[in-house]
Amino acid sequence: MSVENAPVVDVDEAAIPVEKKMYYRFESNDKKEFRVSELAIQQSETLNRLVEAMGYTSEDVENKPAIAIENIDGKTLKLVFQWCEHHKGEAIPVDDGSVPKIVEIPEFDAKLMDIDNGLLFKLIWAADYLNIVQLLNVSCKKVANMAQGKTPAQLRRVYLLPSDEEDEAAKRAAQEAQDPRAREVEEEFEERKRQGGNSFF
Amino acid sequence: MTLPLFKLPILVIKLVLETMGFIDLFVLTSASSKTKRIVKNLITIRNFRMNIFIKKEAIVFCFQKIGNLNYLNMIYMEPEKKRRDDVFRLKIGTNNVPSTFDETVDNAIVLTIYWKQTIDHVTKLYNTFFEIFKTPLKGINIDLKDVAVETYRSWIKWNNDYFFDSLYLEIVGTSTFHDYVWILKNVRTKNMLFLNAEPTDYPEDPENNEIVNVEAASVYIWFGRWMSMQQLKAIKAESITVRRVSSTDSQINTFLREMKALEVPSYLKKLRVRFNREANPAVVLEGLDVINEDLERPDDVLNQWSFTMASGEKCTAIYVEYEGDVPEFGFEFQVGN
Repeated sequence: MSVENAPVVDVDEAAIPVEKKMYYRFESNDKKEFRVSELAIQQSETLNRLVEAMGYTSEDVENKPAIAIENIDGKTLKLVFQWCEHHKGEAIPVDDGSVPKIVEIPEFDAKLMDIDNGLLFKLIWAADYLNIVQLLNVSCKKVANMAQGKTPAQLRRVYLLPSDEEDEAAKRAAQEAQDPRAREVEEEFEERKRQGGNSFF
Repeated sequence: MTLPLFKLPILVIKLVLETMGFIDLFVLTSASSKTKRIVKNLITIRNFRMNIFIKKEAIVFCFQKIGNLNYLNMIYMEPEKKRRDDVFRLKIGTNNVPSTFDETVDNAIVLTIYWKQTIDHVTKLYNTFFEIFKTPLKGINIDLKDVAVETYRSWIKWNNDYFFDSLYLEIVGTSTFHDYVWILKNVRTKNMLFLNAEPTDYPEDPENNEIVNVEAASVYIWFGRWMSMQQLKAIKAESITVRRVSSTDSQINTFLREMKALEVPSYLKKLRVRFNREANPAVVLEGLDVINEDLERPDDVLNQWSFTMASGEKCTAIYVEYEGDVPEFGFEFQVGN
């Protein structure tokens, strides 16, 4: 895809000093390309280190291929870069060590994450992979909020958690699926134990 | 709408759990044995304390952030007879206990657990919270209002047995003077004792009361009309505050003279004696050889003096008028420099 046709992330140009107006090009695993400001990239520790190591000039950015992010698709990456552009220049939050953590979801973030849970799931994976601390905080808070006012049974449905019975059934199934010769040996061992022997031999 | 929580990276699962409140985490531990194990292993609660409020209507476990009194998570334990129809079950020990969610006026969600309020059940619930959260107990507040004497006596014994070393014990509400004395005689707490309960009756002459030994690092008595200065001497604490005392200036003076005459350093480092009348400092401080320190007094203090005790320690005394609806004056003594 050409740069002209690439999804363009809204950029607040007034907020960026002229001398720092540097952009990078990234490509998702489904070949969608994004231009992202240097300041926005600083929200991602992974990308920030990557572009620092590459040491690209403005000319390099235009002349060399876009930086490939191979395990994130375009739909997810668009959300990630929208978030980074909106929060560019903001300090990376420092954890005060308290648990439970008190995390507020700003209005912009709430709207950005008003998406289906499949995409939210991918967004969290992306925020984790790209090490975007605050995006990870707010997206995890969104997942945590799904638990509010839910009974244990509802929580199992929301988070797809197996019940004790299902865990037990899965364990039994795994045992049954194992090598029948090994199962035969185990059964023989159990039988010998019942008969009072301690050792298999 | 579903989201497979346990298919996220382990550190992300940890972060999701760390941003949940106490109620959600607690309910999640009832979803399955595996979730309980994961919550217990991944989560270490930090910078939070638990307070327990015990009253007739409910026993409330309150999780509070240190330094942020506005952040509260509350779990209520109410009698079974108040149980609603729309309950769900929570696993507490080996019991499946009926519970509901409720919303407060400021839209906060609270969890209510309907369980017979026996000491055994409260202990089980506390142990379950501690097993999951390992949150230290800050203190216990016991409200005597409309509670049978035997019931609150069992609560006090429970405090003595399990929570002697919590940061504070506060007792509020009302009781007869006879029961008030029982509390004084039987309560055991290591750190701060706030005896804010009000006796419904008082003995005619405080000087004839039985003297009760009380020991804690800090003792605060809100309704001290019954107290004699002999009783004050029987309180072994580094800090004592007594309000609404009925002792005369002369009786306070006698106490201070005895305190000054102590040749060994006093365990009492801070004493506040407050009353609803104006005092005559000349009578209270008579014979103590005080030095006037009015030039050094803070703005909110009427007068300041100091005197040297027989042990060689300096004692600073101030006379204060306190703000409030009812006129209240008092002396505050600070031993040491």
